[in-house]
Order: sequence, then C-alpha cells, then structure tokens
Amino acid sequence: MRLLTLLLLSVCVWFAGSARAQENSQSREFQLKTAYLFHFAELAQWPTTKPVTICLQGHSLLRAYLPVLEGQQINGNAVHVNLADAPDITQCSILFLSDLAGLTPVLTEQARLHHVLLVGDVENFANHGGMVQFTLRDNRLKLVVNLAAVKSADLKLSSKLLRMAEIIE
Amino acid sequence: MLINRYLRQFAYFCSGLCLANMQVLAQGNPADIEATNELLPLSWEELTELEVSSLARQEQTVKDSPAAAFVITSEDIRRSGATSLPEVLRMVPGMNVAKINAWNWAVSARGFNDLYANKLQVMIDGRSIYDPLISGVYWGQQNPSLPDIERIEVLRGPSGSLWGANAVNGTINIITRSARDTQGGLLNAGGGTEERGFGGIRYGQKLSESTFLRGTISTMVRDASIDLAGRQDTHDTGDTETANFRLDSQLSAQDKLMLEANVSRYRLGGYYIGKTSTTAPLWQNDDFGRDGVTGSLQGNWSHRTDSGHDWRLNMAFTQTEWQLAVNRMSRSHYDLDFQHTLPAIIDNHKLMWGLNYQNIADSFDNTLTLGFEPNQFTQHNVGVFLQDQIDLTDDLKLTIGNRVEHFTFTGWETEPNARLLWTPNKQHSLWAAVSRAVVLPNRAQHSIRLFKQIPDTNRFFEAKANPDMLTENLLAYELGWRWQVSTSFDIDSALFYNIYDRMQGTKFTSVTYNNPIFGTIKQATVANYRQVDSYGLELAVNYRVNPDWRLQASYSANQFSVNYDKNQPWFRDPLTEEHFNPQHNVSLRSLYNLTSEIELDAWARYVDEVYIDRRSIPAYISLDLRLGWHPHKNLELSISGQNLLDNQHPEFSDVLYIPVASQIQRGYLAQISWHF
Repeated sequence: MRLLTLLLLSVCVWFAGSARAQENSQSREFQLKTAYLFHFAELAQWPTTKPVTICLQGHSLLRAYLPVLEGQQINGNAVHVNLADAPDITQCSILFLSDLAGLTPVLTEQARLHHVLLVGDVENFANHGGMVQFTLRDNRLKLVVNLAAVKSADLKLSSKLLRMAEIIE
Repeated sequence: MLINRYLRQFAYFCSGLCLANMQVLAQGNPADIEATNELLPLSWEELTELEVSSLARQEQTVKDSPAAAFVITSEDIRRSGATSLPEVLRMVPGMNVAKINAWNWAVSARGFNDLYANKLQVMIDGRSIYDPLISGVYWGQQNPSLPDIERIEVLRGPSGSLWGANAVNGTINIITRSARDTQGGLLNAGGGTEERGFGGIRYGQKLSESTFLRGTISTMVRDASIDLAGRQDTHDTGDTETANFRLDSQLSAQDKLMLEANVSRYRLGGYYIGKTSTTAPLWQNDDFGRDGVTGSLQGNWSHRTDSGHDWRLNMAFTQTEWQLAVNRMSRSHYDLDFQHTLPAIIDNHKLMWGLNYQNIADSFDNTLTLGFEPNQFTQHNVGVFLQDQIDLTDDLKLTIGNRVEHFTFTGWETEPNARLLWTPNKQHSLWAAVSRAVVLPNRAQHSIRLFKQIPDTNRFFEAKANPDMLTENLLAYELGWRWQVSTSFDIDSALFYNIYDRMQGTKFTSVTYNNPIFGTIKQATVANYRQVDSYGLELAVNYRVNPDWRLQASYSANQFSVNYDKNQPWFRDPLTEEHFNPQHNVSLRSLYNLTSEIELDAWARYVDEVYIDRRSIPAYISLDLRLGWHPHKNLELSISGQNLLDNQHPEFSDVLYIPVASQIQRGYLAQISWHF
C-alpha cells in the first residue's frame, strides 16, 4: 500500500509539475489576449460613447491579467474591468466568455440589445453566435469575426482589426 | 473495495493539488503582470505580429543581447515606402547607406563605406549573399520581394566568432516569412517616376497539416538618372526578375525543415566600363551594361532532442553567372553549416558550438581590359566555433566565444570575443565587449588585372593584384547602454573604438613611359599598408506618443585617424580615407495613423558631406512622405514621394568608374497590395 501511495503521489506531482511547465507559454498567450482586449476597446465602436468596461464570465486564466487594464486610458477615456462572477451584462461593453456553455440564446439576445461585444477563445465560439473569437494559428493569435452578430448589436469594428481577421458571414 | 476507496481519495487529493496550482496561476505573479504591462503600448500591427511561444535560442531579444543590435520589422518596411533593401537600412543608426546609381549602392556600418565596402556580412535566411569576388554585396543583384521579409536583424560591430570572416563592422540577417505565415495570395504592384514599375505575386498553399509551400515571382524596372555634373543621362535603367519558393515543414515534434529555392535575373545599365584594345581606338567608352543570373538552393534542418539539445544543419548552394562587355564569370558557391546548442548541463553555462565548410569555385573569360589570374580558382574554407554564455550572477552575464578558420588565401585565422551584460534592473542594461575580427582578402585583390584609360587623359592605368595579400585585422572595444525610460520611451546607445591593422591601400608602384601601343601606363598595386583607428557614437530613440503615433530617431557620429606615409604615391583609396564617410548621420521617422484606415508617414534624413575622388558631395537633407489607405480589409493603396526636398542630389561616387555614378532624383510612387 505504501508503495502504491508513493507511486500515485509521484504521478500526481509529475502531473502538477507538467501543468506548471505549460505555464510559461500559456501565461504569454493570456498576456497577449489581455493586450488584444485593450485594443478592442479602441477598435470597436459603440452606438453611444461611454467608458469601456471589460467583463469576464467563467473560469479563465485571463482573470489574472485583466486587472492590468483597469484605469488605462484609451483616447482619453479610462477602461474599467469587472471581474464579478456573474457580471451584469448591461454594464459591460465587452464580455469575455470562457466557455460555450455561457453563450446561451438569452445572453446573445441581451448582448444584441445592450451592444455588448462578445469575445471568447473556445472553438466554434463565433459560429455559435459569439462575435470575436481568439484562435491559435501558427503560433500567433488570430481572430475569427462573426460580422453578422457584430452588426446586429449595432457595433462597428475597425477595418484595422478586420484586416487580420477571418470573417464568417 | 478498500483499494477503490483509497484511489478515490487519492484522486481528490491529486485534483486538489492541480487546482492549487491553477489558483497560483490565477493570481498572476508580478513578472507576468509586468510583461502584460509592456505589451500595452504596442501598436495593433506590432501586437498581431507577436508569437505566442518561441524556441529558446530565438527568445533572446535585442534587449538582452550584449551587442549593438537593431531590428527592422515588416511594419517598418511597409511604412517606409521603400522598394529596395538598402533604402530600408537607412533607418539603422550607425549604418552608412549611399546610392551610387539605380542599381548600385554603397552600404557599410561604422564607416569605410564604398561600392566595394568589405566589412559587412549579409545573409538571407542564413545564406550569405556577400560576394567573395569583392567581399561586398552587389545590391542590385539582390532583389527579394520586400513583402516576403519578416524582419531584418542588424548587428553593428564585429561578430566574427558567430558569423565568421567579414562579420567585421556589422552583420545583417534578412529573415523571410515562413511559408506557414504566407498562405493565400498576395498581389502587389506599383510604379512611379523613378521606380518605373515593380510588382509581384505570391501564393501559399497548405500541403498537409504540418507542411506549407509558397512561391513568389517579382519584377522591377528602374529609370535612369543624370550624372554628377548634371549634364548627361547615365543610362542606369534596367530590370530584374526574381522567383522564390519556400517550403516549411514540421516533420515531427522535434524536427523542422525549411527548403528554399531562388532564381534571379537582371539586366542592369549604367556600366561605363569601356574597352581597351591593342588596335585603334585604344579605348572605347560605352555603356555596356551587366547581365546575369543567380540561382540558389538551400535547406535548413533543425532538431531538438527531448533532453534539450538543439541541432541545426544548414546547406546552401549558389550559382552565379554574369557578364560585362569585358569579362564573364561563372561561380559555384557551396556552404555547409552545423550548429549544436547544449542544454544547461553545467550550472549557469550555456554552450554552443559549430562547424562550417565553404567551397567556392569560379571561372572567368578574361579580356585585355579586365582579367582575374588564374582564370579558374577554387577556395576551400573551414571553420569551427565555440561559445559559452555564463550567468555570473542573476544580473551579470558573460559570453565568451572564439572561431578558428582556415582559408585557402591566408591560412589559419582566429576571431575571439568576450561580452559582458549587466542588467541591474528592468530599466537599464549595460554591456561591454572586446572582439577581434578579420577581413579576408577577396578574389579580386588576389588576382585582378584591370587595364583602362585614365579618364580625360590619354594615359593608361593598370591595377595589379597582390597574391600575398593578408587579412585586415580589427580589435574592437564597445560599450552600450539601453534605457527603458517608460513603457513608451526607450533609448539605445553604443560607443565604439576600433583599431584596424594591415588595412588595404593602393599605391602607384611604377610607371611605364614608352609602351609602343599605349604610351604611358601607370601601375598600381594593393597591399596591407595602413593602420586606421576609428571611434564613434550611435543613438536610437523610440517614442510611442500614443497607440496611433510612433516616433523613431537615430543619430550616429564617427571619426577616423589614418596612419600612413603621406609621401607615397597613393591611389585614391576609398576603403581607408576618412573623408569618405559622413561624420554625422541623422534619421527621423514618424509613423502616424490618421484613422484606422489611413496612415501618414514621414521620414527625414541628414547626411554629412563626403569627399570622393577629390570631389565634394555636399551634405544633404532628404524627406520621404507616404500616405497609405486601406479601403478594404484585403486592400492597401499608397502614394509616396521620395527625396522631396530637391530635384536631384548626389549621394556617392565610384572611383573606378565601373558603374557610373548618378544623382538621386525626386520620385513619386503609387503602390497597391491585395491579399486574396
């Protein structure tokens, strides 16, 4: 039994250790995503001008980095970050969803009404009604944009952003 | 049963441990927060170019390197409006770039600039493009499609221990985009008053999940200009056509393969070399031009073992054929490089070593005017290098390295260097270096026979080779300081003191008065006659005013003291005369996004006066402007004006009058680029 404990313990520690080894490139990925979200605040255009609030729903490594954006200025306006577990969507300008489960028909309808840019990084996010999806391609972050969803929420994305994005209509 | 419960408990414990691990991640450590902060001032274009993870060897950024380094990004190239490589290099502090005519450039670092500047190593994807005939680069024969370039890394100062002989005053690494990053199509075309027309088409195709291929064909036609006196057309028109293919494949998790093929053809005017004949007319001055084809094949295989060893094998074969009215050359150039980077086996040590072999076989069709003796020759050069990077303390790094090479021309040579990098905090890093480097005598110095009329006289001039020519040696002392003042403002500075020994000089050795055909003939020979000391300063400043506006400034100054017997009958030798180099160079660039669709860019340069061939080339200020417009996500239109401040001005000349020097004229240019 002791042997089994040791064996399992070592497997367990090895597993935890390998998770840590991925930390470096993973943390870099989420640092980049944070910087992208910062640029979205500038590259997206809302029907009314108000300070941009970035919200996060679900468990994402992004939670560690988003606070960096709090108070940063973009075009003279401060960016705010809302990390509440269940953010009030009416208060958000950009909502980052960590999974597809969060992307319910109710939520997409709310986002449409309140002009919220829905951003995610899970596969098929843009196909399922999300607006901007991060995807890892050739070691670089790429964007997939569902232009119909963006337009229906009365949002405009700068051509600078669309230039590097893959667009699904 | 018991075991079952036991396992379940264990699973809970284990997932708890992993979760705890996640929790640590979720809080984000200060270094990660700092790294995120550093990303925020980047422009959108710069941000989207960043890689998520990179190999350990490539992770060393300019900021960490103990050398005077500068990186030109694809964004810098696009927004410069430039259509050729040397133009782009003008933004680098410490680089001397001067246009001689439409196809010929003098490019050097830290002085000694000339058409035949011999102290710069230049590579495209690791394949050397410097020409062993002159130890320089014929820039007019190197016309890679600029949109294919990912970045250009420029190191000023010697790096002979890594890059071998001729990496003396600088090394330029041109890195093209991976086939993986160039999928789909790109059409670019443009035309204007000086750049008559240029264009190219690129297409990239995915062959499998891990293998990508792309091909580019491009062409360029340039207009002729006017001579330095402002009287005659210089006929330096011409055209080039280039085809390039690149394949990138991730063979396995550990293995990467890159294959590249390139063919380039050129017909360049503006070579008033003239012909000498034993029957009248003895000298016939005409524009004969220069035609040629260069083809290359290259393969690069890298392998990383599970234990952290990096192996890299690079092979390149280049075939060059050109003809002038007075000679024809055919040359095969074969390079084999092997490099091994070891994991940190010994604490604090990072070892790297490598081997290289080079085989250059040429043959010439000699004439009375221009010949190379013997007309067929093969060089075999071999080298081995070793470098160790030692972490002395957390903020002090020592890099020592040496390369030992054997050359057919000069035998054994050695190029050691030691570099110290001190990074007391995130804002400052200081470095110091001592290095030795050598310039290998070239095939021309060893075997040239040039016989031509002295311009505007009826006497003749004969340049004779010196088969005993030795290497030029450099001992360089460098100091550098990088200061990250804030996330949006940084300053990079370098000081150097260079001691050159056995520099080449050319002097008249004899005069023949009563040659039955040619009358008076003055003979000149090259040898290692001179000592030169040079010192200088280089500054680069980057300021991001806001995400839409970036300013970049660079300044360099240098001074020379040349030690030689002034009473000797010296031939005016560009390679060592101090006044061939401008004392001050300034470049100011502004990259401004008027809106997210419209870019307005400006670039002003000041270059100090130089004297060439006893003629003053006055100091000049030039201004380029570019207006770019992205009406659609796949479309870019731009118009640019180059050298806007005057109708024309000279930038350089050539003492041997082989390519005729012309003035640089104001030019207007429109470009279109369409991704499909």
